[in-house]
Amino acid sequence: MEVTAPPPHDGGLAVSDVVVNYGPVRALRGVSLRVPPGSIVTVLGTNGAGKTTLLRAISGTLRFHRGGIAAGTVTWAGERLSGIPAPAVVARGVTQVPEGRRVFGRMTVEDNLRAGALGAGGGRAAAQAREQVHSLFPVLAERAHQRAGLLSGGEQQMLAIGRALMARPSLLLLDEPTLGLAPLVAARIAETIRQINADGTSVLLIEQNAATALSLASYAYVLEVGEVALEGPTTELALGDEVRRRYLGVTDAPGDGAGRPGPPGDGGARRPAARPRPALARWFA
Amino acid sequence: MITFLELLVNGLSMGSVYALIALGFVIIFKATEVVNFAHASLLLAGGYVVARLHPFTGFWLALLIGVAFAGLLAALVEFLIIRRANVGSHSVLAIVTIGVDIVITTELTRQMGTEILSLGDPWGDSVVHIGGVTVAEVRIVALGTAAALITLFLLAFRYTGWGVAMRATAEDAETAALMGIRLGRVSLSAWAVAGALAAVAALFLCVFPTPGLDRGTSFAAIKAFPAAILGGLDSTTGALAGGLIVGVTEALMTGYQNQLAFLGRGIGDVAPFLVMLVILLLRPAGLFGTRETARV
Repeated sequence: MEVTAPPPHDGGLAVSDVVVNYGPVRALRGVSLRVPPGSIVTVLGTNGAGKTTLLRAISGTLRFHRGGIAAGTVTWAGERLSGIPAPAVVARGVTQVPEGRRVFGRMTVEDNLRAGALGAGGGRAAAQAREQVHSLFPVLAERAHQRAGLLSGGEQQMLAIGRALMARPSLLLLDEPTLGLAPLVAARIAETIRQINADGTSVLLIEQNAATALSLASYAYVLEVGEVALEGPTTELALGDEVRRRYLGVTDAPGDGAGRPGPPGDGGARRPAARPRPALARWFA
Repeated sequence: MITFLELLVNGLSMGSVYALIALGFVIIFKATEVVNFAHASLLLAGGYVVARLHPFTGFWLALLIGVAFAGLLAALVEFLIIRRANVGSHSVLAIVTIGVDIVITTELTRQMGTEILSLGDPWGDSVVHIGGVTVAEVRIVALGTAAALITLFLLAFRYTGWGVAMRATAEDAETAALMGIRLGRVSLSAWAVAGALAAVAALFLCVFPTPGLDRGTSFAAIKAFPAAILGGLDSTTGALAGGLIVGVTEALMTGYQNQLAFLGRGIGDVAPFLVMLVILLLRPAGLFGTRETARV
């Protein structure tokens, strides 16, 4: 029953029924999602929902955490990504900005960018990419010879994104890019993501900050304990009761939840029909 | 004063050779987090190939083949053993390298027997006089060669794509992989370079005034361990500083051992390890080390 999928498309990212285990621990229980070419899609969820695991499954870094894809496939533009090592994923145009930035702190800003270009050959392409990154983040050009560890949090995030862009990806995977940043800086990062997307790069955005994510993305998935609990176009999801309550921090007065007037049902957000609706009462407890 | 200067030059020369060995040790540790206890046996293997080949091919070609052989052997150890060992802890791999060391060294000493092999170097026992200071020519060559190789390596480490990949991997392997850096290649090249440097060091450990390559040469190589450790296992600068400290300490302690008779004979051989202990007490991560050596 493919009622949950976005409009049919060719290419793009297709995650199909992916099951991920870390040893005996099952982290993803059959997750499917799509990122159409040129779009921004977001995945929301609380801590431990499996968001980062999902990105690891796409970028091929599960093996660093003693995990593996037990079932399902990941494809990008028709090419299979599941089962190939991380550098091969980069070579196919999919680059991840890791959670917590993870810049190479003891290397200079310039060398960080060079490291980002290593996966995509070098020479002219790298020089062009560097120019793009510098125009996107002028501060990285100013601080080219400074050690990356000395940058502020926001600048480190810019470096992490710039470093990933050096590989000239067609799909950028972002893991909580606004985590721990001041609101103003977070807004700047969000604006940059919009611009990167406008330049033709598809984006899969993992976020806990639902307001930012929903404003950027066109389609959203909500992960819960390793499963897609909810999905839909962001215009509809943003209005939906459940997302508002869970992720936007909009709380109703206790007791008001059941009889609350407002958009009927989910406000248009669709959920997999086979799965039971999570009990709302949990979220008020 | 003349004695002191002579000892100092000799010490610096030996120190630069130790630095070559220690540098290889550090490169491997940075790239793969493995403490390579097989390093002395790689050195012995390189030296052995030079010793056996030079009567047939001449010294320079033999040296080239010996260096290539040691690099290849190191790469093979990485490719066949280190890469395939699916163990959770790097200390287990360190113990594996002890096994590798025993296998290679045993085979080489069996081949050598009690022979002392000449490496056929063109410098022989000629000396040069600078002012009143008399130094063996080959010691100057050793100092120059080691300095040139180390400079070359540090420049490559700093400016080439290979160097960037090495440093990125050393700092954060998973993120390096996310950037498309092939960790297997980084690790393989680190081992190969380290092996090649060890073979060059083997040459200078076996020339005048030492009699030549014998089963004891790997003991001389072991003095590079304190050099790497006291400099900080993950620091290339530390390897250089450590090598020079060990070389100079050893030369001075040996040279003045008559005045230091109360310490017993052979203090020169022990001194590097004493210095290492003192430095580790003061700075547990070594002089230039950033990580806790406990992580080893």
